[in-house]
Amino acid sequence: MHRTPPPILGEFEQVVMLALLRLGPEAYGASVCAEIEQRSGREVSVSAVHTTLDRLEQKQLVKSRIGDPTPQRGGKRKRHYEISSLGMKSLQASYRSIRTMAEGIEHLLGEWA
Amino acid sequence: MSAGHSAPPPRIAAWLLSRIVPGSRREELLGDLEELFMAQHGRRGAAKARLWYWRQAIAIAANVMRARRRQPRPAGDSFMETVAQDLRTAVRSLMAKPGFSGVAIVMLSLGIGVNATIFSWVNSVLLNPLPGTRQHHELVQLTWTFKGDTLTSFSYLDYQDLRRQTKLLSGLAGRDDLSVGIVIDREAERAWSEVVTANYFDVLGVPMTIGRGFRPEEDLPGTAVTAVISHDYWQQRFAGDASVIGRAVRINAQPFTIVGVAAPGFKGGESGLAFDLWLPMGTQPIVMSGGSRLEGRGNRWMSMLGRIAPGATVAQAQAELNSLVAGLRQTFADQGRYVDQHIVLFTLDRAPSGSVSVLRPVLLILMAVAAIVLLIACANVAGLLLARASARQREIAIRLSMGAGRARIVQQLLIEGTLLAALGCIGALIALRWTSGLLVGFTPPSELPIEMAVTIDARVVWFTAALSIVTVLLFALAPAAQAAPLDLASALRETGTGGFNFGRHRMRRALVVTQVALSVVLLVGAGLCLRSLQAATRMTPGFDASQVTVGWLDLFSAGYSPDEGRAFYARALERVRAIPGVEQASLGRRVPLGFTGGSSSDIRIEGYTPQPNEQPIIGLHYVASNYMSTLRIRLLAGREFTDADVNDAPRVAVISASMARRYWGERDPIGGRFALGGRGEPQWITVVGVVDDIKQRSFNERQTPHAYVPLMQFYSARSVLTVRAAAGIDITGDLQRAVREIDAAVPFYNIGRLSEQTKAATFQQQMVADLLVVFGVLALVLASVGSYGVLSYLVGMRRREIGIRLAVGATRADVFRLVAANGVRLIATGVAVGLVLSIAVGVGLESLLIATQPTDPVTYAGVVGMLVIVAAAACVLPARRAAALDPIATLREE
Repeated sequence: MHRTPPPILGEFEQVVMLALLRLGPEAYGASVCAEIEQRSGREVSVSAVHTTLDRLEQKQLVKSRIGDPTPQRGGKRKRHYEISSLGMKSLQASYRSIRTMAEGIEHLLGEWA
Repeated sequence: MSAGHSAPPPRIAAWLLSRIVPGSRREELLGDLEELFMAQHGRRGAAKARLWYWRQAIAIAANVMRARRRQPRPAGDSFMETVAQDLRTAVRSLMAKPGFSGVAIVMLSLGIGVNATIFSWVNSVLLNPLPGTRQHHELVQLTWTFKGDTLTSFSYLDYQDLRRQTKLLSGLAGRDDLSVGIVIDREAERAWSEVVTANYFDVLGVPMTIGRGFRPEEDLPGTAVTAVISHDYWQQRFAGDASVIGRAVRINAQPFTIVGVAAPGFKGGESGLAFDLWLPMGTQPIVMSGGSRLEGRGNRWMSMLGRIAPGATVAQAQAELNSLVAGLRQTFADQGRYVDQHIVLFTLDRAPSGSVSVLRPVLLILMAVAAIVLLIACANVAGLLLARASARQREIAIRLSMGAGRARIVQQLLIEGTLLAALGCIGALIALRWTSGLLVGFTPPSELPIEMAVTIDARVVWFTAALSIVTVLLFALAPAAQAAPLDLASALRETGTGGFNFGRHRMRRALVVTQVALSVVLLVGAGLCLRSLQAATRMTPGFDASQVTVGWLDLFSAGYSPDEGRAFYARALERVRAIPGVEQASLGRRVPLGFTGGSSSDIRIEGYTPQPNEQPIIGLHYVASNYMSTLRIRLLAGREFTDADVNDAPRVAVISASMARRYWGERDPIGGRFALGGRGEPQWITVVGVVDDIKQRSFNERQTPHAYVPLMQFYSARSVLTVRAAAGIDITGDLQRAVREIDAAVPFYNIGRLSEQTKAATFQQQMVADLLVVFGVLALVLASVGSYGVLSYLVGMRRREIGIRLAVGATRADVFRLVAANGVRLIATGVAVGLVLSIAVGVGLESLLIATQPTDPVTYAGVVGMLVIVAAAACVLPARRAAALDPIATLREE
């Protein structure tokens, strides 16, 4: 049986996927933005996050469901995201390739690594 | 992120986003933004949070737009999409050529605007003749025909009989105008009233704003003295005060009580007139002079309006009424009544009275004229579009070769046309707000309460819009039709300046010929009307209106008895004749050539035996002493009335020349006798003088028999003081003072020059002439611009040919002649076609022409002369330009 390799993730896709993993059931657009901002210290565009989530869903790497309305959002409902099994494989593959590529040269990347 | 900080995100940005973001993602995106905005707000403050929100919104919008553009467009899939696409293209191409677009839009605005204006008049005058009435298309005016004449008056007994018996009229009401003196809070003034049957408001379907209408018993004399006032009068005179109900006023010296205010918008039962109040039939004997008119079958004085019953037609109702008249004819056979008399019903838009009757012929002519102006404008725009279509031939050919359907190309051109027409339509509607009111400017001077207000309603707007669509078909279809069968290969090969396409040139030439022909038609029409007016001012109507001042006296509303009235008249004449500068003074019951009609009477003549079936009838005029010398009516024999022709003197009359001819023939009429009325014991009147015929109603009238009788012997409580003064003296103030000094309670009103008042007689000609001159000049300008444009274009197309001609030895004069001859030939053809059409138009105008033949040579010569000048101007410039061409340069162009 032929198996398609999981798609390679772009950098921002990886960042978003990792945020989803961190947030677990609390992952939705705004929390993803806040999480990335908080951890990476960079301001992210809501538009970029949404576009990325859309794209990931189209590629079936994440699944989404509509949540309940909450008052802080002017009564608007959230869309909760969850990494699919294919998405998990993609993330693992991407992370593995980064790790493999960086193995042994961490010192060259400076103190960040 | 406490509730205390919960400020909403910027509303405009949120709204914009809600429009832009596709529905599937809108809710969570806006929710996320709002949640993050709250966080920003709590952390960084309102201003920064708002800035952040805007930044995010712009990023999202940009993203959505980018995504949309990336989506493959299903080109030309649905009809609406191709229309939208073509509309965008059309806007772009119109904006690319602002000069062309501007000229085209102005021309279309003119053409459509002229039509919208005339239609707004037609709409107000003919289509809504009695505003404020319910279902006015069901209303009819009743008239008698009698030996070819149309008479609008009925007796009250006619009314009662017909109303009682008719089944096919659901209602029948009677009315008559009456100018009254009204005293409100001891302040006297004039007002116009209608004396109406009690069911009047019900038949016309006019509700009351406050109070009540008339009750059936108010048709009976001596029951109630009540009045209903108009909404306008209520607002103006009583400031809209509701306590007006129950107010006591004096009308013609009688105490009245106001019981109702009619609905706003309702003006009365005669088109074009605005009445102030209505009085019930039962008050007729006390408000009108001459006593009760409610008895007597021969006393025909009121006009009648009926409402066709549901399911019945006008023809059926008319047949039923005539069968009722046949019954009356039988009942009164011994008195010979109703013989040869039949009822004819007129729908209100064809009513034989009121502004409808005066303006209908004028408006019908103007409608036709406006249509011609529109055709010229369309021809012009079509010419412009054709010129552009030629320039765009290559563009179109490329589109065709790339697979665009011909239908699509035609659609594109039609949409461009529609856009132009829509802009023209908007221009026209903007102008209409002003031009529709111009009708008021034509209001003739008259003692009648004429109101020519025009309202713009939905019907006018729809008409204008529909007309714009028609114009698209007129001007845009030609270029579109030409584009459709375009020969691809040849169009692509063509370079645009060298080749010839004779088909197209034929169409362009036809447009020039059409425009010139149509403007000739309009100019001839304008010329004929102007000549008529000229003829009318030259024409002596048999009297001399210059230096004559007139003013109306109403002794009836001042409560005068006939004897007191005679005494007043005698004193008034004495006083007025003593005013310095007054040459002559007299009294008449009306002014000749005014709007209000005179009275007529059956007569018997001593020594004249009528033919079988002949009923001698004459126009009758009530005048005081010196009337003929005041108006300078030529005395042919005998004498005019003197102060000796008083009430107890023998009854005398002065007759017109045509009456003398008709009934006395070779015999000497002086000393002859005739009697008023066809039956009974004759009261003989002796003829003491014969005067020249004068024009009584219009310049076009046939001379019919008329007689003058002394006002002192045939008393009328209403009369017109008619005074001739020395040149350059204004005696208005002196006249007012004289009347006031005799009795300040006598209303003396509507004072003015007789020459102004007689303008009523040429009102139609004046209106048609004014408008035709405007339209004719407009047409001429449009046509000359159009001719010039086409000629210039043709010269442009033939540059190469002209260059070759010059190169091989043609002189510049030859070239000039060649081009000029081309233009002259076109315009001459147009003039010839126009002259032929004009003869038909002249015949159509004939009823309005005064002493002017429809083929008046002066008019035709003038128009042709004018066209020659315009043709010269339109041809010379392009011809000169052609002659000045540099042959080398033109030949190098390719």
